[in-house]
Amino acid sequence: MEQRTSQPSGTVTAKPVGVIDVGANALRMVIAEVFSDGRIEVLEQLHRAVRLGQDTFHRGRLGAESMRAAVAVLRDYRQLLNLYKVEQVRAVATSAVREAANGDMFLDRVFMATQLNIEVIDTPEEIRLTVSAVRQAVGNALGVNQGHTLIADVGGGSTLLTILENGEIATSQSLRLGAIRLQEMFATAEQSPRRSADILRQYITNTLSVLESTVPLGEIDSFVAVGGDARFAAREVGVVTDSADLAVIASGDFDQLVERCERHTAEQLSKQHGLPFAESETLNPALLVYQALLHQTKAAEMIVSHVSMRDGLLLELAAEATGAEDPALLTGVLHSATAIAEKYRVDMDHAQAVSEIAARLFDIFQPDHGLKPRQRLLLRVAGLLHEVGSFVSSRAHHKHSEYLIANSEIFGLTRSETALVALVARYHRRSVPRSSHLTYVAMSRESRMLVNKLAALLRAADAVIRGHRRRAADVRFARHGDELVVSMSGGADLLLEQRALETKGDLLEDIYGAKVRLEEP
Amino acid sequence: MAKNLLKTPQLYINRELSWLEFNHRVLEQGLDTDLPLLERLKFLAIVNSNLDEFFLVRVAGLIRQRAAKRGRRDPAGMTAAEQLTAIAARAHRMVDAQTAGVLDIFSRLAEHGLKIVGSQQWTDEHRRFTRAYFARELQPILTPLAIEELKPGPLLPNLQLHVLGLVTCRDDDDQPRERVVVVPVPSQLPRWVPLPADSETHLTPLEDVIAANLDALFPGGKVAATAAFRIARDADVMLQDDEQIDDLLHAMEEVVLARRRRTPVRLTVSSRCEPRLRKWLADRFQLDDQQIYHVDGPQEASALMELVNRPGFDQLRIDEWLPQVPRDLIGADDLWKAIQDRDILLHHPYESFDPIVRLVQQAAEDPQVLAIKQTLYRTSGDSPIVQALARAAQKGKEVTALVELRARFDEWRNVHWARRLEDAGVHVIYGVAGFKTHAKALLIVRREQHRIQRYVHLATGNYNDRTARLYSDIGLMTCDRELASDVAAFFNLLTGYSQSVGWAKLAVAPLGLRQKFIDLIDREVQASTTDRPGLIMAKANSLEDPEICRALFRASQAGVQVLLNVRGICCLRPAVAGVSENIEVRSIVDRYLEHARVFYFRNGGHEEVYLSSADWMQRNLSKRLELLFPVTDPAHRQRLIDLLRTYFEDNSNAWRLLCDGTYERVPRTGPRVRAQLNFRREAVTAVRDAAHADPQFRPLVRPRP
Repeated sequence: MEQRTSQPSGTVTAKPVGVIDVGANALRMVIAEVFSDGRIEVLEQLHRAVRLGQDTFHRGRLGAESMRAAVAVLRDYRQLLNLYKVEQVRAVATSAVREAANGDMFLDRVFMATQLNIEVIDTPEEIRLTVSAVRQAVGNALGVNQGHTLIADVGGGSTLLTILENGEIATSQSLRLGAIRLQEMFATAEQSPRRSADILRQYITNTLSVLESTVPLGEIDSFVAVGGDARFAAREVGVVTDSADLAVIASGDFDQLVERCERHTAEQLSKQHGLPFAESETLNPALLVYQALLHQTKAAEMIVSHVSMRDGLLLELAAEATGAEDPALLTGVLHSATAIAEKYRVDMDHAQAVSEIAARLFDIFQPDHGLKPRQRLLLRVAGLLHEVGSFVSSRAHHKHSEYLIANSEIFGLTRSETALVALVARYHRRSVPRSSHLTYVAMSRESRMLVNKLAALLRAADAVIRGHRRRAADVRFARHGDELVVSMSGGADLLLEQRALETKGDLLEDIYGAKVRLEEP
Repeated sequence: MAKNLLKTPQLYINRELSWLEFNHRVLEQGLDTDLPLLERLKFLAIVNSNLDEFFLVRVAGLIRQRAAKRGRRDPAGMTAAEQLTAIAARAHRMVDAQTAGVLDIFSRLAEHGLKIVGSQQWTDEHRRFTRAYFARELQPILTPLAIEELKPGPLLPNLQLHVLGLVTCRDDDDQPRERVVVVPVPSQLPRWVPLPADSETHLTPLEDVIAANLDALFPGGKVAATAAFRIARDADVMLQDDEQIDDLLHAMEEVVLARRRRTPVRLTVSSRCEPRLRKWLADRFQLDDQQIYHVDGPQEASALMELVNRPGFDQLRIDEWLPQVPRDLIGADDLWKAIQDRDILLHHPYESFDPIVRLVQQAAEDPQVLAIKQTLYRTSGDSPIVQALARAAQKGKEVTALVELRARFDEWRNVHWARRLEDAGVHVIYGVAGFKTHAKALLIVRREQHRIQRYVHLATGNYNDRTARLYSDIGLMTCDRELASDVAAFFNLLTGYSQSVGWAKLAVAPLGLRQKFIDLIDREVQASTTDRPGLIMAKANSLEDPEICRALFRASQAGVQVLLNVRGICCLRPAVAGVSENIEVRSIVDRYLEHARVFYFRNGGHEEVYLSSADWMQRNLSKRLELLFPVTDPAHRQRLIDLLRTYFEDNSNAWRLLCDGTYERVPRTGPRVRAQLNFRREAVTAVRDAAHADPQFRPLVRPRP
């Protein structure tokens, strides 16, 4: 696509953006400038310990005191955002708010006090953001692009695992093994440190054992650790690498560090290492999780990346500013969708072809719909998955597709994106969107429009690829004014397509005002 | 050598005695016949005011420590009682030498037409004149206190000069009765009363005029004896527990008030004091002989400074060295652009402090500036910086000022600023609980055409345009992104917006600055080889932190050459065989107070130079918020290396610390080098060369109609 730039060539302009991460044990903010050439320069980084996770993981709801503290911190953050005149802010909350019964109430309070709209994101999204930042930081350093690499992020609420195969995102998974959660679960503060460590180690091993089928830890060649506690370990025993964002800890050195730390209480750790108490309290559980993971892999060292989910958020804001997306992440999303489609025994040739044709139609109608690359990706995913419902029953399979997709975890997609894909897939046949469709009307007007625009393209794509063994490469499109002319090579008869278009081309005509005409070869 | 050996007391010099040695060097400056008389008098005044503060704070602390009877010993192995005895002996000698020096200067001033005439030398005409002066100017404002009859006894303010008199009056039964009276000498009046003289200036001390006319205040009374005295009290009163204080401003005022009631620690009194009066004073303030200092002449530094600053007599002063346009800013019209183009190094007061004031003023007016954040530690009278900050806030900019209320003896002044700034809409932070903010940092956030630009000023000296003319300090202006982010994070730390998030370039006390210094010193040990020994050059006001001392001992033992330019206290004992023979300590006492903190490490050829707000003292590294920052521009680095070397070439006003803890003057032999004069010449030359090198040819064109 042509890059349209309004500013004179050679001048790079910047705009300030902010990202806020409401985590389980701290509220963090980064203010940065995003340049029109994609560069990101950090202006400020802030960190305040607020233990939201402690309440949620212990009692299932956020406590009044920590909510008050969090709102006060966010008020300060808002002041600083105002100072830099930041207009684009992405604020996200993870497990501590997500799992709290009163999470919405909290977010509402935050909004009233600060006008900050905090979005609760779920684990696939967390993983996607973190992994994109790690990939950016690691690049091809330290051989992580060869063989199997595990990226592990031990947070307050959960541990996020991602496996890269030759640098490509292969699979990801979240475990309820967060440092605060572990600490709360075992009330480790009341035990002798040694005893706590033993109990924790046992529990961690048990939890990891269920992974064997999905995440083959034994095949991992490189181990990348992300998170505050990993950074602590890097400061203590890490070796600096050429890249400022990476450090390496030999397996033996890490064991010694854990051995030293697990003997001490949080108070002692806080004193010895000059850590805030809130951080020292979660240190041992987190280190034990990293250690357990490290030892189940083949890796001889732990690579610590200093990036975090916040860097992923920044990258995304930068991508929005420049319109670029990380190709590896796109691949990751498509891989994940393909894996789901295969699980439901979808005819992959057909699914791939529909997905590809839909994308081509998307490009053809680009001037009409004006959508972004991200939405093209959603359409491709819908193309890959539209038939999954046939796994349940071929009758009304579009409806089965909808709920199967809606309840799948597609790597790299947000919950709302997944819901949107589910609806687009649903409308690949039969009824077009109606006000009697509950999930459809429950969406915002904007999303409903998007569903219509994408579904129209998907229906058309599905129609032209009806014929047996039809390949995407056989299909050509030409646009003449209001008419979309489709020509096919391969010489088969076009009856099927003709009929399909009669029933499925409706939406395309409604939305884009384009009539489809099949041209005999 | 075993590690614990580096803790043996023999390796350390007592901090207080080392400080007294410093004050002795100031005294020597006052006795230096190479200097003009009024310059010498200024140094003698400084000796006096230094001693006052020393007793108020340090000696008071030791007296309390002695009373606590814990038997604690300092790193040099001395108990509080031992220190007090040693201090008293040294301080008495010092006061005697200082007084003698002052009288000597007085007699020489007389040769130049400035004559000090004490009441003993008054002529009859003088007596008549002062009598009339007393009746006209003084009597209406004096408040004599019949001190024994007042219950409770009145509080005699700290360091205020009083005239004490033994007066015989007739009481109600018409019986003669001796009474002791005290008359405070009004502090708002000039300390010298001009006597009638033809062409010369003849002055007499105000206290002599009061003492000689005391009888006028007690009709029918007879004055048997008089004396002038000042009492110094324990002023080391600080906020006890910051956490429990809701209103710091109010609490601070309380502290200042409390200082008035504290234990007396020293008395200065006229040397010809009548024994009964002397006994009365000793009893009243419960002082032993050790604590009573006889002064033959003016007791207050302010009286001497008044002479120093008296208009005229310019031939008795040193030439003024006007601050020059800083080398890096010659020809720079646009300060913003100049700082963007390259870092600006400033060497005050050779180079003007004005650009810093201008930067803040300009920021206040500039519509593109979004925010200004600044620390204010000791700020001068009508500081233009404070005014500019207030103005910026009124113009709607985000202004944050960290006003350190606890800068000792400046509390009142600071409370005043703080309120004024708050009224203007500045977000004022009154320090950080438990830590004094001693760092000097300024951050300006400016939204420019294409991006946000942040301007940073970091320095070794305070934002005080007055002391910037007297203290030699170094500052750096920069747009360096990493430093700017670090400074922003530092302010977030101070304002409580954020916890520490790690630093790219700064090191911060108390969060690891000491360790950073030790790491830098230890790294030098590692990098040192026999054919290429390591080199550390450091310049600071004081070196007292035992851990830093030990690191330097280790460096010396490893063959690293350690050159220390420590102006004041130095607790490290040099030239001890096997421990500190590679350590050389010099001190410069000259026209400007040496105040910069500069640290150089050879680092195997990859030389590094740092500037800091911190001295190598325990309090700086543990109890204060301080900054250390690198100077990375190669030209600046070289400039600072040259500067450090120049101090070790000085043979005019340089002193060398000996193994016994005393200092000897670096012999004034061979070609004379005077560091401060060199820096002065460099600053002048830079401006002159620039004027010559870059002549402005302006074509003359016909004026437009």
